[in-house]
Amino acid sequence: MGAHNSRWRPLRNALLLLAPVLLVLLVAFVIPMVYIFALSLQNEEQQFSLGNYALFLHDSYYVGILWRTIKLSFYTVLACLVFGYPVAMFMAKASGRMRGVVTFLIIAPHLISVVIRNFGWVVILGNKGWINTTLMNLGIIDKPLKLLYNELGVVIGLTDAYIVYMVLALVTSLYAVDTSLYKAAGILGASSVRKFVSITLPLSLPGILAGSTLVFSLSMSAYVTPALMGGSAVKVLPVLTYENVMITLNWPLSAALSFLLLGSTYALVTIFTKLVETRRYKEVFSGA
Amino acid sequence: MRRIPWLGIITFIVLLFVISPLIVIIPTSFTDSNFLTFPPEGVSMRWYEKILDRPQFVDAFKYSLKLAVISAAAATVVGTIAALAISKFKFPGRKFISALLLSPLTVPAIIIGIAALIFFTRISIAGTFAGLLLAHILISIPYVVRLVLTGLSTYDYTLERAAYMLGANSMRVFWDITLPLVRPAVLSGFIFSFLTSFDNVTVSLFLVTPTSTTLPLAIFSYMKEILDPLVASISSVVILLSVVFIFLLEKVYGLDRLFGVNTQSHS
Amino acid sequence: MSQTIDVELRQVRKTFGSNIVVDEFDLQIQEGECISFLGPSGCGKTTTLNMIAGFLEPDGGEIRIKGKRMNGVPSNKRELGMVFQTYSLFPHMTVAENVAYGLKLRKVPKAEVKQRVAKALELVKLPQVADRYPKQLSGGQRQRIAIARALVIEPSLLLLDEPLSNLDAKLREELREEIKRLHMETGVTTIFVTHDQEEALYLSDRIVVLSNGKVEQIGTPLEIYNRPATEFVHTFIGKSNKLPAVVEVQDGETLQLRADAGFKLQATAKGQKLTAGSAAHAYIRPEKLRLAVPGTNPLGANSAQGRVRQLSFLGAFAECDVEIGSATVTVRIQTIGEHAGLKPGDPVALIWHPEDVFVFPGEER
Repeated sequence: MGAHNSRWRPLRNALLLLAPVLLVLLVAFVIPMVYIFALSLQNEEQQFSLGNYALFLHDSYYVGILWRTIKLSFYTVLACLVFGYPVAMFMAKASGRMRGVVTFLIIAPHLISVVIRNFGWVVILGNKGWINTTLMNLGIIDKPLKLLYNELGVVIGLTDAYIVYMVLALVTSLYAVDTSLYKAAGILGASSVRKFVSITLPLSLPGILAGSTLVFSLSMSAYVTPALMGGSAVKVLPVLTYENVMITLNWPLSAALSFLLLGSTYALVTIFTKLVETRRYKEVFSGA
Repeated sequence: MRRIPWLGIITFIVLLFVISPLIVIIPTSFTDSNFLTFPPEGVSMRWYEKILDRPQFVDAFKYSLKLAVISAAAATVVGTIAALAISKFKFPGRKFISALLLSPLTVPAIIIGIAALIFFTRISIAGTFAGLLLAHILISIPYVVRLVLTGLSTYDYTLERAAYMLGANSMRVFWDITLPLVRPAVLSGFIFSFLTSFDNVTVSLFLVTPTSTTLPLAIFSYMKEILDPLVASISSVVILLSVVFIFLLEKVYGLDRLFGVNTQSHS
Repeated sequence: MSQTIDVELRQVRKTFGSNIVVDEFDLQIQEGECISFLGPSGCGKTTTLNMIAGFLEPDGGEIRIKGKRMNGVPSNKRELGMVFQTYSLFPHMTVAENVAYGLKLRKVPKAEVKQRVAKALELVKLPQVADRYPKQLSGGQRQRIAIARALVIEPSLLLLDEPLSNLDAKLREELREEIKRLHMETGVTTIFVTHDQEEALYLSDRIVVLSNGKVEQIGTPLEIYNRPATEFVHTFIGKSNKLPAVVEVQDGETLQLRADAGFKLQATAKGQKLTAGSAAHAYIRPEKLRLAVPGTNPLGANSAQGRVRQLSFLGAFAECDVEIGSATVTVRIQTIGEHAGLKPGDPVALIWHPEDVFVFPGEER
């Protein structure tokens, strides 16, 4: 009995302490997820059916929305990567103090509600916003530029919201690069461009992968920014899903849309990961 | 020949890019104009006075505050206890449990909101404070668990043994040794949960009612209808409040550590 | 030293699953004694200490401290002092608060706490660090504070769990002298767990040598070194040359053996009885071998002819590896004097005394 007891007593103690957290998780997350999954597989007569998924995939309007969501997410990843990479490199080279300041300044705005930041963008990018007023006062343009309520506005908003994740992912992998490698490459005669191409870029691949997949997933499911900065002109999958939940009140279809969003994001992330993780990549970074 | 510090310039531009939407709000809130313009025209406090004319924002603010405090406290307590259990007891399946506790992070907030709405409607707690609270506790739990587990990863359990040997009972060991040593992680778990709840829109969206709504959602709904300087004045209040908490978090724990990057040890 | 028994282990036994970690451990510790548990990792020494400390319950037998049965008594009620390998000072308390913690738990009046903490810090010669935090101390200082914290509650027994293992060589020697001094000054009964034979020999009144959960021998350092009960004890403590051999004849105290390497040797039996023709392992420590001019044979059977294979200078002394037939033995030599001119390939003779040869039964062939 002794051995049996000593193996299971920790489990009993732990379960007692874990009970509250597991209760919240079950009631607010696990059961609801299972419940809506079951719901998505039902037709109006509450029989098993793939109709909700079929409806989506056969309607070119819906597929167009999915395609736009993917496209905008892709642009966001690209923008975050292009602008985030130099920041990460700067941080990797900076002194401890400077690095701390940049880290703080890039993270802090992220902790303020996205609604408010989007509002700030409206002030900057709107027809009577800062950019258009300035350009018109300078006489460069005579009609306000359309910077908001289009795809550009959404990508700007999403890039602002998620660039922090890209920078932090990149920085984590750049910090791990042994700086003596640069000296070694320098002694071997490498120029700074060459050092970037042969050392920095390949060794930061895990950061690029992690940052890109995270930013992509977040962009795919973003609701607030497309709703506020895209308006009715730029409808993405989360906005469509919201309308189905709250306006059309078609919950089985909404449930199916949720899982289509989840499934397409997961599939694209998996494909992207497989493309990056070549055999060589795995050998170099395994266990890292 | 001096090389142009491209990296520094781009970094400056990116920082400006992420900070500017917050910066422009403050001057805009003091405008005297009826419209949203930048740069603002004239200086006045009228849009701040207007906040008080709109009880829906004041109520939403109180509602958000109540929700954030209770949900953060609850998430911190249950999350900390859970993390302690996972780290202390070597029970079968602990890997699975900790993955489960972090799993809400892997599902988009909008889907968590939809699932909660549909299921909560079924069990008749949709649109109640309890339902909203439950969802907010849920989205904060992964952060608390992760922070406290990270805090405990360097925790030396022989310290507890040392305390037992000196005559302390389990209660004393917890209060004198365990808790003080995980306090920074617990405290930042609380503040981060508070901010998570206070900022949240996407989950709340599905669980509030028109009469009792959270502040970010009230701003969100208002913004979709009307864009006037009132949004700026309310936003400024929220920014001010958030900044206080952000500095608190930086002081207690460090934003870099909170997000898993170390700026100190690397030279 | 009085003859009261302070700690008693009776047939103590611990198993983890089907693994017997400690088996039939019997031990009586006198008041004021310093006892070492010595053995390689996994020998059961730490498990035994944890049972005495109350972190583990024995599966069989009993543990008594000051005559009181300890089975089932939790750690915090045992009134023991313990020092850990990792120092385990509370990082959020100052040195003084660390030392005072045990007294506060015992509700000692404030003034007395202050005075006793000061005295304890005085004892470990670190009164100046009272207001510092552990992080600000060196490893050696931390361990002294840990000792002060354990001693300040005036424990009936002090447990030291590999307290020197995390320190570098020089500090280790310093602190081991310190522990010896503290033991003499306080007279507290002490159990010292270590895998380092030198520490055990230096510090202990008696040593318990453990291997695979079993007690191999209990004895004074001198007994352990000079009269090892088992082959394990002999090989674990100090360096020794192993010579597989066959017993030719035992005549009372005198054993005649033939080494597999091809020479004869005599040994003085230390209580053991070996039958003629049986396999044996003979051992001679490097410092018990002498080099002699080749061809000399002053001690009859107790010499062999060989060739120098390699010389290693080690500071205070040197080692000379000598090939004898198929065996290579190590001889400790002084670096100055007559052997200074040796070089590899030189023929040499080796001589030894029969009483320096240890013989243990070998595996059957």
